[in-house]
Amino acid sequence: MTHAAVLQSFTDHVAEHLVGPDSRRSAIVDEILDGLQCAAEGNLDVCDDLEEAAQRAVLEWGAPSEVARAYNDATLRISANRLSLQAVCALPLLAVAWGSALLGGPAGPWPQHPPLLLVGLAVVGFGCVLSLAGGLSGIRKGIGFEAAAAPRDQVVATGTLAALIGLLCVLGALTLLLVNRGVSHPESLDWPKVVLPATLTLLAAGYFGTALKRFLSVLRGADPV
Amino acid sequence: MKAETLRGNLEGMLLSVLEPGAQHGYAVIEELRRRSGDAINLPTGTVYPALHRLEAAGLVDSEWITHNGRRRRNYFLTTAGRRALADKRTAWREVSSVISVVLGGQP
Repeated sequence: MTHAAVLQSFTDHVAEHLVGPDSRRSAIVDEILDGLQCAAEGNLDVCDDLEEAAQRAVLEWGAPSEVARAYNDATLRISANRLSLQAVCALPLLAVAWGSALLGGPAGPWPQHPPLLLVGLAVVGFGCVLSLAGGLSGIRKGIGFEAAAAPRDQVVATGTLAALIGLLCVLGALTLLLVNRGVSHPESLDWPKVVLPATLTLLAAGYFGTALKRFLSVLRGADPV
Repeated sequence: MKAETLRGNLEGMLLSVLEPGAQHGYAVIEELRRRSGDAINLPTGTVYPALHRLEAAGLVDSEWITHNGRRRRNYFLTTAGRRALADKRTAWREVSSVISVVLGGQP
């Protein structure tokens, strides 16, 4: 086995355990290969044989599963921080879009708020609180030196999950409320004004639904191997 | 010295090693070993992910350079990294002086 094959075999073993998007896994593999080559070059000072230097470099790196676990923790944290931040930023954007569309349009068609509307508004409120609390706690624990130095923090993962689930509750409730009012009292909506927030809501639901699915797969894959 | 013993402190030491200027990962490990008088001899697979975590936290940045015809990744401190290092040093001095007094049995 050539020294290149020894190094490649090790990176292949690590790559099997890595989680996250292809681009990120590829960047990590490049980093590991670079580190292995540097280590192998360093070992040439104590042994003349290229293959032996490569074998020593591989031994210096430790078990592939442990290396992958350390990188997976970083991937999880990066992914969690990004999603928490996006979820927290999406809420004010939705509030502004829906607020300007509904407050500027005709008044509601009901003399009294029907139970379905009250339930929908309660779900929106609950989702907002859950998303903001989860997202902000996840961000607080997931950035800065302490986050980089600490082992994996459950608050980061659970906070991000709460932020995503809360936001999806909000998006789902808004969609159902719009459909209900649009079908039962279509004349009570200023449709040109509603198109923008409705489109934004559907796009956000698709994006964050997929993001939740991907985050769960990273979370499952990042468990100790 | 094992990686578990250094948990929570390795990242601060890595920032300190990178303080003078950009270095590639293996040079960081060698410098860590040299500064500690061979007491810290961590697996390479512990140090690279730690550098990676510091980079993800925005405390370290990296760039690919060409060295002897081969691409090599160099790591360097960001402004936030320098600030974090200064904070870590201050905190460490306070903690170590208190622990030294207590463990050392001084009045």
